[in-house]
Amino acid sequence: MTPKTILIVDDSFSLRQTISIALKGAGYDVVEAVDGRDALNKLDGRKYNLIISDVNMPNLDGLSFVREAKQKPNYKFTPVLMLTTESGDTRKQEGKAIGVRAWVHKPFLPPVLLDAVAKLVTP
Amino acid sequence: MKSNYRALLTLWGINALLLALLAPRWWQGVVAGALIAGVAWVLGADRTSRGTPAIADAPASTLSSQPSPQSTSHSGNPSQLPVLVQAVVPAWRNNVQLARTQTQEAIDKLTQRFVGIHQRLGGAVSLAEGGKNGDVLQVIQNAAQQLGGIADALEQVLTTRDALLRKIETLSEHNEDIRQLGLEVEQIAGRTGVTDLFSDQASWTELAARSAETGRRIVSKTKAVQQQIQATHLSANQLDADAGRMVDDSRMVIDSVIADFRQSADKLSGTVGQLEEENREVDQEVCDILVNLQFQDRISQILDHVQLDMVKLTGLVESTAPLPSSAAWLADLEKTYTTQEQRQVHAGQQADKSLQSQVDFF
Repeated sequence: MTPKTILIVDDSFSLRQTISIALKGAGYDVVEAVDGRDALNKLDGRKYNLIISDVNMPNLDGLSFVREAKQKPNYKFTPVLMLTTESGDTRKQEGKAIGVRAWVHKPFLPPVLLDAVAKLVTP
Repeated sequence: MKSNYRALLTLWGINALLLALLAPRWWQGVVAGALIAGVAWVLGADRTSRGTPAIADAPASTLSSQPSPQSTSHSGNPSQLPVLVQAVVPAWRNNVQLARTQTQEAIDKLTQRFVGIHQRLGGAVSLAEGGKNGDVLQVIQNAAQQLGGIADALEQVLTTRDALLRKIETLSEHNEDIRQLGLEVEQIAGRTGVTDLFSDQASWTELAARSAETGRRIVSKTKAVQQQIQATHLSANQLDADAGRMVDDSRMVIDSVIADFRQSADKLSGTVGQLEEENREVDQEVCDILVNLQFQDRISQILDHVQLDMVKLTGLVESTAPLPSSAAWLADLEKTYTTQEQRQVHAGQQADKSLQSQVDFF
């Protein structure tokens, strides 16, 4: 069976590594992007079963990235999980309004993230 | 100038917040201590007579790096304060940025090394799984089967030898029969030479003599053959007994060697299993460390907020606009916070430092 692929968007190298190790350990394939702009470049036709994105990033923040990603037909229905230190309701509601499916607070524990991923990842 | 003091008090509040958040790490305390010392130097001795916001009420333990009373006795010219702020605050900001950068680089390198350890441990665990479960025990199992086959083959040889012995015994019996026939020939020849009266006397006598001689030679030859057969039978019996013991001994040696190998393999397998478990535990520790390194991300964001507020303060001092109240400034600052712990500290509460994941599904 082909592993499911998840796009990770985070400007922190250590965060990307930590998320990547947790996901790979659970059998997922991972593609990494260093910010929203880089992530948009990686929406190049590849199929992603889930996108995990930070909110506060240089060049293009997470919510702006999601907004643009949802405009692309190939990724309109790709589920998005925000993984962020942002805990304010305003940003959460903003995310919900543009189609974000889950909001996970940093610091995260791998089992909690994997549980959320399993609930959202597409077949 | 009162508004300048208010702004600087606000700055002191920001720095107190920073100190409260970062004090658990020594280098963070150093940065925050330097900031507070600078603020105290700027404010002078009369700063304590003014009201301070709740954010300044940080835990006493986090304020250990505050300047001494001697350092607060400075009485500068308040009119020089904006110039001083414009000169000093960028320096603070650069220092904070330096701390952010250096910490980020150090954490990234640390992460890279831990990821390397994690990958190597993963490889070692895979190797251990192969060594523990498969190869050695399978080799021993194969050896036991093959050596057991050799013992079986030797036993088959013995069985064949037994059959040969039985044939030799039969041959011996036949030889005895021939010997008896030879004796009978000899006896008949004796009688023939004496009693036959109707033939040529000389011819019959000669024939009888030759038959008797042939009979004797048959008997003699069968006697020799019988002796050879008996000797062969004796040797074969002796060999059979020796070979049987050798086969039994071989089987015992094979069983013993296989048992030793199996015991060693079991011990080895157990040791490999323990090492594998140790590897897994160390790997889990490494992964836990990586998870805990997430603190850098939060610290970087907190310092970013402080830097932005410094920029805001500098801009305000440079402008002619009236300064806002400290309450308004702090309210604006609070809006920039991203983490719950920042809000808790801002409200004068202890920050919840427990690592917990919260998930909201929409």
